Amino acid sequence: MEQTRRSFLKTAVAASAATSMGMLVPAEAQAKAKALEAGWKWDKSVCRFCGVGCGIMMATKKGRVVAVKGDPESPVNRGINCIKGYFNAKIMYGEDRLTRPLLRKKDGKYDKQGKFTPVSWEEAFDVMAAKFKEAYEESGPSSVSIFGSGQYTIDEGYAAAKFMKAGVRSNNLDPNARHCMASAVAGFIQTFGIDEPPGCYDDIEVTDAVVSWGANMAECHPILWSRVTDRKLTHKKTKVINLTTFGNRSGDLADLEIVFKPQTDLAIMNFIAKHMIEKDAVNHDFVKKHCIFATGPTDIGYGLPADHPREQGQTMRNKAGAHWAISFEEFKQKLEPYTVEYVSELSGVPKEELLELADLYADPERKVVSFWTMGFNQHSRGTWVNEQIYMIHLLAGKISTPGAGAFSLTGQPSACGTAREVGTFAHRLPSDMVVFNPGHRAKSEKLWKLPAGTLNPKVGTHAVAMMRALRAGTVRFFWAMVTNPFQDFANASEWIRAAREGDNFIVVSDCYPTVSAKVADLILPTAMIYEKWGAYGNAERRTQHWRQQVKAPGEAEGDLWQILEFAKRFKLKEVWGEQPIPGLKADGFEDGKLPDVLAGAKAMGYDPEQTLYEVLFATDEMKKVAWPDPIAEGHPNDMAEHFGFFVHKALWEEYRQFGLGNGHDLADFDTYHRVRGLRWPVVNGRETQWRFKEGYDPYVKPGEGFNFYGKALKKIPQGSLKGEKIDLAGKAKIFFRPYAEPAESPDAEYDLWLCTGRVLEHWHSGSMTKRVEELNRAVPYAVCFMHAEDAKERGVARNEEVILESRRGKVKVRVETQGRNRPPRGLVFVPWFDENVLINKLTLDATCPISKETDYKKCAARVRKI
Amino acid sequence: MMISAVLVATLPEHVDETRAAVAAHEWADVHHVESEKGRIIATIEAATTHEATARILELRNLPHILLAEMVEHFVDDEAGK
Repeated sequence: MEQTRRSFLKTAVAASAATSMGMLVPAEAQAKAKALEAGWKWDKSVCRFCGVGCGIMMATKKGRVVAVKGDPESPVNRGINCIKGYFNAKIMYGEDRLTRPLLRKKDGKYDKQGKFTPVSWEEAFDVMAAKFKEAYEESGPSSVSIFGSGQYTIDEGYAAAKFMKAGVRSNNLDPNARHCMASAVAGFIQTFGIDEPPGCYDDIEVTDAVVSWGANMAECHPILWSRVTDRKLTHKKTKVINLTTFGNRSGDLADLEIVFKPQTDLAIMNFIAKHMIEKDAVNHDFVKKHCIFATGPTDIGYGLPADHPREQGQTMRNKAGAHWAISFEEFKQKLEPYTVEYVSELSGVPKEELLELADLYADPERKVVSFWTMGFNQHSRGTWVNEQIYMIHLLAGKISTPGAGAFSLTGQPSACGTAREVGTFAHRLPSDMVVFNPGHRAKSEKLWKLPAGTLNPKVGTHAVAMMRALRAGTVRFFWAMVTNPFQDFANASEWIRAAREGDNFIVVSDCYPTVSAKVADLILPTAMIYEKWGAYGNAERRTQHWRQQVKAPGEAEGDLWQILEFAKRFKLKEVWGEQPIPGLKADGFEDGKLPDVLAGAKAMGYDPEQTLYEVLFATDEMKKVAWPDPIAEGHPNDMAEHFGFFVHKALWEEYRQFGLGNGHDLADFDTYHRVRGLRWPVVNGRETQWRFKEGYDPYVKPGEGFNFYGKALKKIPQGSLKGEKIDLAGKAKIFFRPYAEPAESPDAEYDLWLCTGRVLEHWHSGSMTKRVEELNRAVPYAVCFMHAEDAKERGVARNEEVILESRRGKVKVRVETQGRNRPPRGLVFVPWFDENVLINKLTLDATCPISKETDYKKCAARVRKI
Repeated sequence: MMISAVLVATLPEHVDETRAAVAAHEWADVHHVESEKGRIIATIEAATTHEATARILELRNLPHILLAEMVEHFVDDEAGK
């Protein structure tokens, strides 16, 4: 390249970047930046990976993506991207992209033991519908399931929920988000009565302290960490504390890194609360007006099967979430044992570090934001530990105000927007409603135009239960979408065996041949994010829409297309007659049965011969939402072309009716294409930064100061579970939760803690990032991070391959004693992105008994020299 | 041939030292510096994206560097992926 062009390009690229960063750039350099991009079509989009929800700009030319950059107008990332974000386009172009449906066949017919054979979509859906109906007709709605995702676009999740709950009347829909933030959800619902964080990312720029618990933001939420870095550099008072079970990159920026023994976060929290009370750092006025104290049963088990030794004597395992109100005096008394001496010994954290941490929260002059992710959520007491962080912030009154708050980060791009807000869980309906509440079912039946009694009041199988049901043979049809369950589930070998050897039919919709695709009986090739229209909702309640940029390769089709096409294969008469639901007991229902609603359907003008596609997805009203639409600005929409109307917009406008006036208000479809996302509730065109706080949240009336208006679980007994019920409208709960032993701890036989998690370069199970050569080369395989002394003691050297094993399984893995993660003695850390080091063969399927989220952070393992 | 713009962040007291350390690489140029915020925009030249990634990691390992993130990436061959 000639020198002048090279120099021109550098000036242009640097000028464009500096402008994105808000730096002053000379006019001449700006002009060069403009000249470089002539002929490209730029459009706003959203990053495919984590829950931060960074905005990206994508340039296309002749049907291909030519450039990606951070969106300077995005309030989230303000023009910068992490290394993965910048490779967003490349994830679509892996060499082994799936482009045709593949069915296991032998002698020209479907056979579970057959070989993957390319088939038409027609044949794929024929076999799939036949297998679905085989289970359904024999055993009813409880025998079929969809395992969905926090990476579903909002319309995909909405369509899946409507198909399953309203169409085939099964609540066996649960997302991988169950493994990701179910404990955060349970914490929100129990504390505030409504899901998702009160605050937002804007807290970072006005806070005085950031405390990160059980997260490694530097690697897993790097853009937010860059905002924390910026705050620390420009505001001298800022303190950063990193609480973790092993030293990590987030510690590099921190003033203090506290490494504690696994599970003792429960005790550390209680010490902080006790210390605050002793120092009289409680904001009594706030607590009196807006809070109430509560607690619940302690012997709630570990979410393991009932016959597991760990579950014996756990008398309250079926009432784990029940709780009652207590007095402040009782609360104080329960904290008594958590002295600095006791907690220091239990946690292994020096007393002075515990005191420094507690004083930070106790200081009335200091605003504090706490962040957390999987260290809290993937925890056998995940709900408790989420509630405990609110305990601290509520005691101090440091919540729901600019710069002060407790913020649950998410791991997936639409764990909030889709899984939680749409409600693709076994117990949920859109907008925080639940299937077991008659009023919620009635509202949903009205909005979905269903005859009364269509919706199933019995909670379906949550994720772990779904796998156990597959093993037991009670679930016989399993469809995984936008997720890789057979790599992701703890105790993986069990479920792989159940899928391959059971009498069942496994469908996997994916873009690459993942572990799960290989386990499947039918693989559906799936369009990826920029090959379709969609929307995600990030961790700060920000809903962001994007347009289709390019076409999907071969015959690959989007998940929404797949659901709608599959729905064409079901007639009302097949699903809306009487259905058996073993174990169903609910007011207005005959035991064990869903009623025949065909007469009601007829009265509403439906015909039993109509398909679920016509009744749920292509109603006259929906078909009026026309395509083409000027909001597309010339971008394609393959799905609208196929179905003959603007499906995404039609579904969006129906979906948002659920949230209006209900604390979950969303704007209309077109608005989102004119902005860089909006944080709900969006009322009168205005987003909400801080919920529950007067002056910011439109649901809080003048003079109230704060109003924790969430409606769920606001009538609770006082004094004990049998006490008289009291009404807590408008109040938040401050829970006391005790320390509890982990489900499994190291012992003489398995002498190490095993913790799993992520690294910067890869995302989740690596199905996308492993296809990007640059990311894969940077971190080609998972290693076992361990302390050098632990390695030495076992006679193994750095880079040596060893056997890492638990009571459930083993893997071969290389030992790493240096680098970015620095475990203390007695703990090893292995990332889970690598299918060749299938670490979930070792992990234990214990869950938080309230949230049903698996604890991937703690089990016992050992390292054996080969 | 590709050019990447990289945002480098350091403490304001280390800006001059960091600027020199970045510019000392023959494949890196410093274009814009914001001393009071400790921010530097540099470009990296590389033959492959793998090389670009490796070079960013190299910058990240320099003393006093708190952040070195790719902000923009340009491939001179527009037909590339």
